[in-house]
Amino acid sequence: MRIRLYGRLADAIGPNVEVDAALACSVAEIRDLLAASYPQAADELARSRACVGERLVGGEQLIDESDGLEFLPPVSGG
Amino acid sequence: MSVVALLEHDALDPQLELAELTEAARGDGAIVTFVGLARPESREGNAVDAIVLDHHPTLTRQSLEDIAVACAERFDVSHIRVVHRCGMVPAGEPIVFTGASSIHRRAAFDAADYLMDRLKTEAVFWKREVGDDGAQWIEPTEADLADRDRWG
Repeated sequence: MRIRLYGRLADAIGPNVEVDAALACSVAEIRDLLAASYPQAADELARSRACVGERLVGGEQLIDESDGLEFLPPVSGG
Repeated sequence: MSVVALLEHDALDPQLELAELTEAARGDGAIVTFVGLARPESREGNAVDAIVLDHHPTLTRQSLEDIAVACAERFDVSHIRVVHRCGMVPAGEPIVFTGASSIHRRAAFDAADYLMDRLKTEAVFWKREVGDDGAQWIEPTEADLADRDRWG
């Protein structure tokens, strides 16, 4: 599953990352998987919001391959 | 009434933006504008060559529009214009233009103030200062948040 990252997360992990997640797993599970794979980004992941199709979603949201999950760290403002 | 909110990938020309707003504001009595520049020095006093603003392909422009629309609804203004740079902005160059026109000046002053307080804290950007010491991510300061909270 391909995940898009922004800001400090993109800096720490890369702007796009592939995660080998089961189909229909939750946002929280994907967040944990990423944090385990990239411990240097765990704190930033914890305070990031998940976004699917321009909509913010909670940790319980089920995701599959085609959803286009993104993690957005707190914004800096302009 | 018009509300314009643009995400600018290339150089921002404040004179051009003011001309557009002035053209729209025929019949008004006041225009208030603000131009933000990329600072050549960080809060810690280090030299900054450029500010780099990462953006989201849709949410960033939407955040600019949401703030501009909220401003238009809140104040007795006729026209709002917000233009914000993204990408790499060399130190000293314009990074944001905000402008409001109104029949009487107070609403335009308040609207410009409100626009910047919200843009500085809520616009969907991830911003870093780049200089000889590398890159430093920036987040809103306590003062920025306090300024925004004045508006409730």
